[in-house]
Amino acid sequence: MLNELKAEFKKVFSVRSTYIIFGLMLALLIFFGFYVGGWHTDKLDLLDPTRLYRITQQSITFLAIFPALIALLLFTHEFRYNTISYSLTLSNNRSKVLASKIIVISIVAVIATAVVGLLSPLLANWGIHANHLKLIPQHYYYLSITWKGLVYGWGYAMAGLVIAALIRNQIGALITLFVVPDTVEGLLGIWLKNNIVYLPFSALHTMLGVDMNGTTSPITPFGAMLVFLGYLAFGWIIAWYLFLKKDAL
Amino acid sequence: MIKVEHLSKKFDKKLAVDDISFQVDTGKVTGFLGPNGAGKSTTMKLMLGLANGSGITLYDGKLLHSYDQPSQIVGVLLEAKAFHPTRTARNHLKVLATAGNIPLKRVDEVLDIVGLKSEAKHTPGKFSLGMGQRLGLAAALLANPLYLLLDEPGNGLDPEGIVWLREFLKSYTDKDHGVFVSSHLLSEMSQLADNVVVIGKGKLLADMPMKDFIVSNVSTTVYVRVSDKDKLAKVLEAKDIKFTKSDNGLEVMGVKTDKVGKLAFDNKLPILELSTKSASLEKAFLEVTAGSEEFATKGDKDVK
Repeated sequence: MLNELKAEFKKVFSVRSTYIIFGLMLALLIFFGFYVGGWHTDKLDLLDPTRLYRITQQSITFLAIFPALIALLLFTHEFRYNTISYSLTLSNNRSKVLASKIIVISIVAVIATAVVGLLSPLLANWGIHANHLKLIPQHYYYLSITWKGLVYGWGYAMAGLVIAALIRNQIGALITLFVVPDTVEGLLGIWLKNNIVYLPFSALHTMLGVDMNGTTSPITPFGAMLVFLGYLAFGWIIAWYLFLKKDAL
Repeated sequence: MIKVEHLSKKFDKKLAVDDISFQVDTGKVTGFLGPNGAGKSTTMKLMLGLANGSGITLYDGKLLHSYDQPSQIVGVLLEAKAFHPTRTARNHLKVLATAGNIPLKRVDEVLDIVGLKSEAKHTPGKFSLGMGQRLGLAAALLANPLYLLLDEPGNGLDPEGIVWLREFLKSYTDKDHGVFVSSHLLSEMSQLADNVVVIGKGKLLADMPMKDFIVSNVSTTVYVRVSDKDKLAKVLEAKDIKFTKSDNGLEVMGVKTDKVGKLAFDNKLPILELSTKSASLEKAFLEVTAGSEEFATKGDKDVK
């Protein structure tokens, strides 16, 4: 298993797309953190005691797509360029290959989310001060943002990976990843109204976005997390079965 | 020895591989022939467990994936361009070496063997087909495995590369390794392979030593050109000897040159040319696979 893990790490960090995606993520983090969230802060927002918390929430929400893209490409590149034939003949167990991908993407996603979570309030604060603005004292819910943020970033990346594992085709998986969370679930929300929180990505958003008392949603952030994890587990059961049984062609 | 037993594979309702059994011996190159769409690549994928079907393939008596390190057992080249286009050649091999628990120093060694050392730092996205084949071969050789499974490794190689590949694969079997190689380059295959496995429409058509395959499927003919070929034709007909007219002479079957020469001399026919036409793998292949082409052209049918 250790060989497969090391190989998956090498796969992620030996292609140009990984650096382009992370570069873009950092550039956007700086732009939104420093400029939009800091330098360009609205006067009213300076009076918001949860301003930095919300900046962190928004940054994590907005930038979670990038680790998800890394996850999606890690999987679909194997089939697009047929390197899967090597992966599956060098290892003596298909499950080890899949488990390695999940572990590696989990680590990458958690680190990327942690970087976003740490840097976004610092950048915003720096931007505010650099523009000689004054922010009122802040309430920052460290524990809340830590677990919600990390679950969100990890969950989004896992969703990218499971979509890739189910679809395999790169273009199809990319379209699904970009269309399902907002467009498809958004349209279903017209019909489902408040019950939209029981859809996977909406549950993930709800988990990160509900206020501290959980009053704006029919379920608590923890409940929303469980809803999302239920979908994820279901997706992985199917994806795992297909990975073991389907031809690697 | 690789023992392939009763491999079968269906795509929807179509039987792509139909109960194929054969073996690949160590110390020998086994050629794998078949027309386009015959099921060669699918058979190889079944042998490696990449495609799911029925039947088993045993590598020295065990399933490939029951070995701790399958990389030590078999090296694979299924597609020339099976690499990420922006991962350098060296990094591509490093990924594979890591996955196969192979020392990383081996990466530069195999790049040197296949002649790609100067390209190690380059991304293979713009590699020619031949360079891609060399990189694929380097990947197959990483662990110095007991067996090589190569699907069309000669495609895209220049003449020098083909000669190198032939000599390299022959020398590889000298170390008591086995090579299983498919190819459309029949003349190359005839010089390379010791044994041959032929399939058509998913069925096994032949599995025997290369020499036996050629001899048993194509008879040697004698080409003779005389001053009056019609007269010689009548003589041959009278003796019940089979022949066909070709170019300016006759192709005589089932007899040797000395008999044809004596007949011409006895009938006062000056011989302008007399030679033996050896059997070729190409003829034998066409003979055996006649009617089993998946994608026969109108031209193919005319030839038959």
